[in-house]
Amino acid sequence: MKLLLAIILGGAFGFVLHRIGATNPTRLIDMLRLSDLKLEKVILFSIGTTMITLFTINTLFPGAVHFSVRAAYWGVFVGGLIFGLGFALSALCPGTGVAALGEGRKDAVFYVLGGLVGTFLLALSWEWLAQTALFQLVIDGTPKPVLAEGVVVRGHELPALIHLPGWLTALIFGGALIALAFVLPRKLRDK
Amino acid sequence: MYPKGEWDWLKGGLAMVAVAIAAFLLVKPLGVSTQFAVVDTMIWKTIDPEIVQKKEVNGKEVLTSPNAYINKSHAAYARAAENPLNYGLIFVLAMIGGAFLSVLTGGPKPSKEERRVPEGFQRYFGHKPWLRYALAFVGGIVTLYGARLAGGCTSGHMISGISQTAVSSLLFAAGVFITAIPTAIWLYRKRGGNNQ
Repeated sequence: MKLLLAIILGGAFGFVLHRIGATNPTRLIDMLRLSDLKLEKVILFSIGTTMITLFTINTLFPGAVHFSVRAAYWGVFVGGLIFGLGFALSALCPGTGVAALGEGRKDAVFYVLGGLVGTFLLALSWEWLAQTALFQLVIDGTPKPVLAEGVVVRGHELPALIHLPGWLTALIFGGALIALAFVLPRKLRDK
Repeated sequence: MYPKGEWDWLKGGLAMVAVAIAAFLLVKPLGVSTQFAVVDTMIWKTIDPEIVQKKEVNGKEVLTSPNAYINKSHAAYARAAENPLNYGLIFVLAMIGGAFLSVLTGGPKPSKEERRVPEGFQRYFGHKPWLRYALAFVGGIVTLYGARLAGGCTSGHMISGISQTAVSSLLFAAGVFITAIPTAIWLYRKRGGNNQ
């Protein structure tokens, strides 16, 4: 059953990434150099709408949403900085790079091979990285902070930074992201 | 302006929401980059079988690894690598099939040339397939190093993580755009005499 869901959900995710043009490096180049904000709009709208929907469902049917939050240590931010550099160089990311294989893009083959090498290098350097300040928590004593209340993982609610009902925080934050998706212009710079 | 079959942002956004919500309700949030670690472990153990070891602990057989990364979270990557038919890996492999299905059913169909050097790349660098492949390869190394350090990528951190209002994912997204936008603006610029 789980494998069937993996095929259906993975297939749907790859299908949608392709249909919105996210597997096309041209669209990602234009996204990052702000010369076509289409994918910014897709991302902002998707995140905002998913957020509001999730927290609404979570309020009505507690336990129905399978939350999974990653810990907030400084390495997440540094990892993001490194990721951004590579994102610009390759104009692909792990999900879009994998899906781009499905439309026969040759550069995506090089991207995925590079990704396997990068992961290997990380595995080799992990022991050393683990001793650095990168693994210090951003908020002392709070490994997995969230903004909105009601995020329950394995029977424990994660500490929320905003003390409002979870659905309201999601509505305000998610609503702002959706509004931004609508008001952003088509592009900020020329190609 | 967009290839035939490509959806506009609102339609695409709604479709993305449907997939993300289905994943949250039925199994777990969307995520991709973890599977690079799983596939690496699979390749690694065919070259060096010692990288995944079986040990008896209190009468139960558990996996361990001499590599600290593979060994973390009770050797989660080793466990997935020992059992390749697991949800996460099948999910990522199915993504390839999903994109292929989209091409077959009226989605954008890149030309042979586009599949080698994307149009947006040619705009700034001209027709240089090997430069494109090299940048894709190096970018692959760098993005996955960063994603695995951060514990997630655009799928796991941005779409799934920010939707849950996770502070970690907001930090990741901030980091990504701080470097990605200036680098892209600098890298993809008109070069004198370099363009057709």
